[in-house]
Amino acid sequence: MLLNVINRRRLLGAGASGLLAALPGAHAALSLPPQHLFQARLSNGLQVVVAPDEATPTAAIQVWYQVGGRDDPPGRSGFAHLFEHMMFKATEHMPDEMFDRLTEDVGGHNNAFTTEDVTAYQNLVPANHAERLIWAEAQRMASLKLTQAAFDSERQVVEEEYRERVLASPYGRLFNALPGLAFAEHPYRRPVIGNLEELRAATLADVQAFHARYYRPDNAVLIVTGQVDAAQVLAWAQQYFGPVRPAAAAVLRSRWQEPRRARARHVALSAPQVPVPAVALQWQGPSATSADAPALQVAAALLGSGEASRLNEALVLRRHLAQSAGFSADLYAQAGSLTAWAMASGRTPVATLQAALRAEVQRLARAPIALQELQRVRAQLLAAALVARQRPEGQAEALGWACSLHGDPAQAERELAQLQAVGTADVQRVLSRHVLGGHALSLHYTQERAT
Amino acid sequence: MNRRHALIAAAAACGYTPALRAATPGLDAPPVPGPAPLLRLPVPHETRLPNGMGLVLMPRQAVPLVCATVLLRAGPETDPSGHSGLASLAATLATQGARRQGRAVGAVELARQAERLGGSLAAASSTRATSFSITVPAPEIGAALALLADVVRQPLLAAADLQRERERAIDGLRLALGTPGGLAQLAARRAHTPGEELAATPTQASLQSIKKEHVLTFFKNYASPQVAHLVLTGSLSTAQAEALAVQHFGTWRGEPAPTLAALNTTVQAPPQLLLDMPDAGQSAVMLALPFGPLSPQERRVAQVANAVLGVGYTSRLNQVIRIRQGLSYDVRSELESQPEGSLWLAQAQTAHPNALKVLHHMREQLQALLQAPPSAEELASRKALLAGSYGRRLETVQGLAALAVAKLAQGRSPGELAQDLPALQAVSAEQVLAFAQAHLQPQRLRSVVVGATAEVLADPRAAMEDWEQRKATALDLGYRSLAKP
Repeated sequence: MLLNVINRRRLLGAGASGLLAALPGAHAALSLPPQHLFQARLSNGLQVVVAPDEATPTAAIQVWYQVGGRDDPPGRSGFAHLFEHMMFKATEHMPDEMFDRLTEDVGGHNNAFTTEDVTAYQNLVPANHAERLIWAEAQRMASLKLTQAAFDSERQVVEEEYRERVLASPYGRLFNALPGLAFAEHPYRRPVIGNLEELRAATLADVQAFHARYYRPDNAVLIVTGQVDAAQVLAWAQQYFGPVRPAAAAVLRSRWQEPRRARARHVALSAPQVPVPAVALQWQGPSATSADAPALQVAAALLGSGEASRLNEALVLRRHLAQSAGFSADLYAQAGSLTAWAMASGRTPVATLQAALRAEVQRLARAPIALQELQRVRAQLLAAALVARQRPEGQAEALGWACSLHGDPAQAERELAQLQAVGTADVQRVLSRHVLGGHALSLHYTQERAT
Repeated sequence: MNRRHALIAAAAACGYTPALRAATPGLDAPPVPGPAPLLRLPVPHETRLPNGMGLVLMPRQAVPLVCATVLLRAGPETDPSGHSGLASLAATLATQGARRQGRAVGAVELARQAERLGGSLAAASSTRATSFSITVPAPEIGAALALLADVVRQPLLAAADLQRERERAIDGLRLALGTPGGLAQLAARRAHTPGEELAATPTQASLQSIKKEHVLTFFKNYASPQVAHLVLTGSLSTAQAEALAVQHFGTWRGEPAPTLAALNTTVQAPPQLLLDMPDAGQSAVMLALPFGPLSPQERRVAQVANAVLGVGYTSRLNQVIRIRQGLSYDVRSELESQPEGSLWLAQAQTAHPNALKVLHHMREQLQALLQAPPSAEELASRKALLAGSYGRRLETVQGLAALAVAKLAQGRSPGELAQDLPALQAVSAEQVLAFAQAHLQPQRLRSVVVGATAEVLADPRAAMEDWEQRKATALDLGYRSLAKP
């Protein structure tokens, strides 16, 4: 619910989930054929990852760039995402919207999304079209030939996207306010979607400069999954991406530090059209590469994943205080955020709801956790991985996150084993550290009074 | 393995057209595609238990997962007048508690049991289809079916759970009514869906009126093996599927479902409705066009026509409204067809001052479809789009289940799935034109706009329109006319 992912068409579902060979615990009997990964790095720096899968007639072709909302130029909040839209416009050898011709018009589809850290371009096509998409992705990495008219029109589309997500959606203003409250100094404090004023300030020259700076082979990974031959894909990658010129100097990559929060804080927000009040509690979290990450993901699932999760059980089913509740561990490349949230049921006062929310999170950190409860989460995580693995896009996406956040596609499989290995003591250790030992931001979100 | 699959040359006929200008594939033009891969459609295995319950198995071995669905062939069309929302609420309620091995198991414990298997119980109710489903790793399918059987055959339907789920449904409704897009959808469907029973929609009053005895009656009438199917998709053999079905549903008994009175198909609602939501962040623009029932062949033509207009980035509505004019982030159309009649809907969200401009473009595109057949290239692209999305459903156990359930809900056999793609490929441009001219007649067109009226009407186009204006807060979804008479 709180995942701050903006994409070309719609909000992305859950985050990454990987693959596995065999697991300890309840599902020891279940073993999957290991996934065969093929990797290469071209001399211009492009990383290539291939995972063939004969069980599908389709192929997923994705390119993940290491650039996201955090890299928006000063005074241009929302630019990385605005730029993502421009990547569907003309290149030297392709007219505007050629990607729709190459995917949708042959029975596939395409999409793209921008997060805090990465921008990913996703195509799914009948497998015999894989080479065409590898060619086309190389084309738009090499050059963009954007006209002022195409730029103006697409920027308007992004403005409408902003209105739809932020202004016309009942909780849009809440999600839009959260990053700025969760982060004090890190650029993660700017929402990926940006704001209307800074979107309107963007120019065609900004687009070319951004492309030159970040859209280069040494800042990207090409991922191909589905019914493909690995050697053939590597040869196509060399043929089409090989000629893309390497950049002269390394990508300028800043690492920002987010200071420790010194004290708890309360913020009350109101907006028009809020059907039921919402509350949130937010704590500072570690980055995705922290050793605490797997235990925090399991803690998030114990609290918020499924009908039997702690928050749903206590707040929705047992006490009838909320109509829904959840917990999200948003662990980005450089820093993280932990958020518990609930939407009120009927006339529950926000203070009552928030106290109950806080008590449940603290209870998980302090009171004993039954092993059965952990097994519930392990089974859920395993099944979710199997469900994602059915489709080439699901496989490619897991590999994309693994490459982007950990620099290693094999992390997709490793992460699942790590999640299965988390014990109750681990969950309580990380919650003690980040929740009990941190300072919470408390947030109330209610209907604006009539003026 | 191959014997189990009907091979369909899928993407085959799907729209690759070489570029007209001289170009070198792989250099300044895309490389030429190789031969199309084959789509493998699992052959459904269909049988019936002695108690009348249907069993459908669609095997897929690629990943060790199984999706199990119990389908009851009754949905919101059975809701008694004034109690809209009953079927949906009853379905949800069954997942909130069941008698298991002689013991009452409440919502929390039931959810725990499902989630320990790696699944979660889902319930849904739409026209002539109420379904309960769970997807689990293959080794857990026996335990998952035991759970599903208890939910369908022995639900607790407790009063406290009804009260809670009713409140959640009301909150959900409030959420939908708070957005311009949600409100426009509900209003357009309530006003213009052919058939009063199909058009009825839950309101706060109708949900409040649902009592425990209504829920019990729904289960007594429709949770019966005579109108039920068990659909199993995934990593499972025929022998396993049959044995499991007998084990968990073989002793199920029930009365034949009552037949419903014929449905009323009159339409009475203002043709042009402008709903004022002064602080909405955007306007929602909807076109609705009700028309008569379609034969299976006509439905395929209608799907292609709808895809030409409003499905995907290449569709005409998206080309004009989003890509060329930058007026909306999200514009699309959809088509629903039932034996009582059909409804075509187009929708977009846009800044208030652009609402009537968007409406104008939508109407213009609909008109254009009546003037000339789509080009061969456009037709091929739209068929490929539909075939592709169909093909993708074959890749997941949940997608396979959805295909089978859709057939069963129409009273047809999943065995007919094999004919869907060839029939789609056979649709011609002339058929699309003929369909549009016969059914998408402009005089039947209805409009609903929800937004800040003052800004919407600032457009000079407003003078040429005859709007019935109302406050969004005054809308009553309990009536076709959207207002208390």
